[in-house]
Amino acid sequence: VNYEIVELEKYSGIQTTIYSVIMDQEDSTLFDEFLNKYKTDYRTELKSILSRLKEINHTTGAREQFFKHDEGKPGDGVCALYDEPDSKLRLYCIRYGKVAILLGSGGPKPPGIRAWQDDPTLAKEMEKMIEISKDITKRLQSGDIRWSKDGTQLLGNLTFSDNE
Amino acid sequence: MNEKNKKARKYSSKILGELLDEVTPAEQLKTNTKMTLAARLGDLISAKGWGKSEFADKINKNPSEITKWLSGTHNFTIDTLAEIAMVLKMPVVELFVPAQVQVVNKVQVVVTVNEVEPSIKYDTPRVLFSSSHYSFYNKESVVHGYPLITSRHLS
Repeated sequence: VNYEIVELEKYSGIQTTIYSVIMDQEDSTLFDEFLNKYKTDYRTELKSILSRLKEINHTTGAREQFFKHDEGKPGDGVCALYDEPDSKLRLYCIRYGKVAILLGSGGPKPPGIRAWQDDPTLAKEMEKMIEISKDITKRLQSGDIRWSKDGTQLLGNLTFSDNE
Repeated sequence: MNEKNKKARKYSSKILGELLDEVTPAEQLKTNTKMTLAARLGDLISAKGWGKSEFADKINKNPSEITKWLSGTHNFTIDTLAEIAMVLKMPVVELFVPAQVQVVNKVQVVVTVNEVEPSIKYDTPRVLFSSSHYSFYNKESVVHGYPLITSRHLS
């Protein structure tokens, strides 16, 4: 899969840099895709997610306690933002400490399922995030990308392609 | 700028802006209150040296309940806040007080002097450090104006 990591301009606070990815042949980010897909049926839940991301971005930072961990593979940083008590809309992301998160997509968690593997939509979005996390880790290890000295910004070649 | 130092391209999202504009100031304040309270509670539990399970034991709850409390989505009742304050041995109102400033300075200064005129007194310029007091990982904990090295005399 080809994609580019971009920084979300609307979230330009000081605590956390918020990224998403634009997939090949698309005009918008995975996160935009999520917002557009659920804006009619889950508008209140989406507004709640956005207002929480705003606080993470401006006030609290991406504290571990705000995310449900161990959603992906051990150590890959893939997690889900905790839902409001009466909401089941899952947003998947990759968390890099308190200072950076990469937002993906997600979907409603149907009642009765235990894990994302049990739902095709959630599984598809989660697997995408696991792959992205793997790619980023690989590039960080090879030195093609790195964190800025203050740890808040990814620097280097942030465009990924299949034939690497 | 060379490729190695290239930052991510900035992306402006129309739908994100549209939905964020619908969040009223009152809704944002509620979110802010829940999240800062959860963050403060997390800090207070850690400061006691307790894990989530240990705190859960002390307050007679399941660890899953504490996870909910710390998630930044929980709407606390006064009764629950009173129970928490009891266990933490502090007034309820202190749960809403921002954490004390804790400055972690990680600036390393290396001064190499080959030849020194013995009569010269070296002072570290205050201004150099007042602008360097910047905690990258916890930007709320910034205190300006306290030099790391007040003065230094080389002879």
